[in-house]
Order: sequence, then C-alpha cells, then structure tokens
Amino acid sequence: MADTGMEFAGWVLVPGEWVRTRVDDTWTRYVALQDMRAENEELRARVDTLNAALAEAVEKGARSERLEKLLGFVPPSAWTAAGARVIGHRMGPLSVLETVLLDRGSRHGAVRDTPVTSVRGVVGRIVRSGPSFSQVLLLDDIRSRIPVLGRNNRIPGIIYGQGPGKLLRIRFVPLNDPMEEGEVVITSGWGGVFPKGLPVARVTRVHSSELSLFQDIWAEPLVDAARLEEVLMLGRVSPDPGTVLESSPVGPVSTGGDDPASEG
Amino acid sequence: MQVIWGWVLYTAAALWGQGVFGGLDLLGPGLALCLRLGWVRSAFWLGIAWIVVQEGVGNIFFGTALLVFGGIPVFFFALKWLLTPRNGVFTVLFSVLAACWEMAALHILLSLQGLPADLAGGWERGVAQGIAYMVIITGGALALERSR
Repeated sequence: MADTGMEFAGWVLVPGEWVRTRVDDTWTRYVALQDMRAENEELRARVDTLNAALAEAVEKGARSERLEKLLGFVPPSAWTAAGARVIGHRMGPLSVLETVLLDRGSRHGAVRDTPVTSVRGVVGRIVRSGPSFSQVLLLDDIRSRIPVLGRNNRIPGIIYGQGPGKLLRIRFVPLNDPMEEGEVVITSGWGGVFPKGLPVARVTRVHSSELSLFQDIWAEPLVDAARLEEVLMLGRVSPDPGTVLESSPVGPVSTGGDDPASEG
Repeated sequence: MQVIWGWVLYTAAALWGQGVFGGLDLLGPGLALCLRLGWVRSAFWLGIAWIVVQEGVGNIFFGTALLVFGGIPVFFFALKWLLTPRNGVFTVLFSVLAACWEMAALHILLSLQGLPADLAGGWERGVAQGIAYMVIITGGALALERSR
C-alpha cells in the first residue's frame, strides 16, 4: 500500500519534475541567451571600435611612410624644403586650371613662383598665395612650361602641360639631338624658378617629322598630382651660409622671382 | 540669427560640394533660392559675399563671378514678370536659363583671357548645373516653407 502511494506520488511528480526541468532549462537558456546577446553586442561594439582603430592605425602607418619619404628628400644645394598638405583640388566653376590648394600661405613663406615638388618629381609652382593658403599650378596644366634637360643625353627642351590626364609635350628639341624613349627629363634651372636636377617626366614617344626642325616628344609626368596628399615647397637660401634672403618664401628660403609665364 | 547661421552652413556645405563635384557651382543656386523665398536684401549681401568666395577659389581673372551672379537676379526678375516663382515651370525655365548663362559667360570670359573655352566644360556640365539649380531651388524652398 505504501508502495502504491509512493508509486502514485512518483507518477504525479515525474511529469511535474519534467515540466519543472524543462521550464528551468528554458529559463536558464533564455537568461544565458540574454547574457550572450548582451555579450555579443558588447563584442560587436568592441570589434567595431577595434576595426576603426585598425583603420586609423593603417592610415597613420601609410601617412608616416609618406612623411618619412618626404623627410628623406634631399633638396638641391642652396635650396631648402618645407612640407605642405594638399587640402583641395578644383573648387568651383571658376577653378578651370589644374591647381591644388595647399595649407601653407604667405604667413608660412609660400609666395608666388615657389617650386613645389614631391619625392617622385616636380608637382608645379605656386601661382596665388593668401596669408594661410596657396594655389599650385600643376605640371599638366595648359599654362605650365618648364625648361628641362634629358638626364642621359643632356638635351634641353621645354616641357608643356596639355591638360589633365594627357601626356606632357617636350618642344624645341632639334631633329638631330638624341632623346630616347624611357629617358627621364629633369629641370634645367634655366628659367630661374626651379632648381636644376629635379625629375619631371619620362619620355614615352619620340617622333621626327620632315616638316619641322624639331622633334615631337611626349612624356608622362612622374607624379600623379590628383592623388597627392603632401608636397614639398622649395626655397633658395643665400649663398652666404647662415644668411637668409629677405623675401624668404619657405622658412629660410627665397623665390625664383622670374616671369611666371616663362616657367612653371 | 538662425537665418544667418543657416546661410553660413549652406555656404560651407556648398563649398564642400563644389570640392566633391569639381566644376559645379552650388552658390549660384543658393542665391536663386534666396530670391525664390523673397529675401531680396539677404540675396544682395549673400551675392556679394559669394562673388568674393567664388573669385577666391577660382583661378581666372576677376569679374567672371560678378557677371555670372549678376545674371541670376536679372533672369529671376525677368521671368517673375511672366510667371509666379512658386510655379514649377518657373523653376525649370529659370534653371535652364541660369545654367546656359553660366556656361556662356564662362566660355566668353575664357576666350577673352586667351584660354581654351573648353576648360569651362562641355554640355554635361551645363546639364549638371541646371539640375543643381532645380534641386536646390525646389528642395530648399520646400524644406524652408514646411519648417515655417
């Protein structure tokens, strides 16, 4: 009889216990899931934060690499270099020429005709300068002209901009003077704006015509100005060591001071 | 005061937009919006300020922005004589006229300065400029009228 009571109680309790266990399991799982969800959200937020930090670190790494290269740039003798950041390109309907805006102006010594270069080659020259910002006329602008020399054969010519995305044109190279495809042209320094020896472009096509006294030479710029983020402004120092010219454009430097139409 | 801050913010946003969209003028449509809202005095002062800004960020000789911005009120009041500015046809006609005027003025002044006229851009730029006028005038007027 006692067994029957026990059996009954057992049979009554078993389903109850089953239900209790299920409810308990479900509740535990629910609570665990809630915790997991909160933890998951927290982890996701941490992943987002870490991703942002990683992206920032990668960007900082790339920037420091670029800046290291800029710091490694050795300016020509009697010239000094100062860094500037590119903060804008074409900024409106009246900005029709190929220019970039720099975060350095006359307060920082950036004046008209200051040569602007990068570690890879010539970028252009400053054409307008405000107190805090200045505008650089790029090498590929149609108004840009720079006297150059072939690096190997030392043949002089003048390099002309032809517009954005177009090859540069080297003019006034006589028919018999050798200039080869692949040859790098450098600034000759004859215009008085750029120092001698800065790389400008690489010759891509040379064509001799019987109708002209000069060769048709095309060259690609060494610098992609549209992607520039940092540049170097060059300035001349006085030949006398320690003495700086008064019209110093970039710290202890001065301008070329030539007719802007003649070079740049 | 709120209106002044609004236009300061618009100017900043327009300059950013001009940086992103290359040769597009976003201040001219702002001037047209100001006229469309009937704020003639504000339009006058904003026009002067924006002429200085456009000339400053540009790189051709002074006077082009003066000519372009000078044309906007002329076309606006000439069209207002025929249609009401709230009319959609007015906005479309004005946008077409203003964009054509802007392109024509740029072409003429570039030629006068001995620069190739194609630097002003082709018909695509004219179409984009017309759309900019339409979007800014309509969107700005709707937003400001609803917020009142």
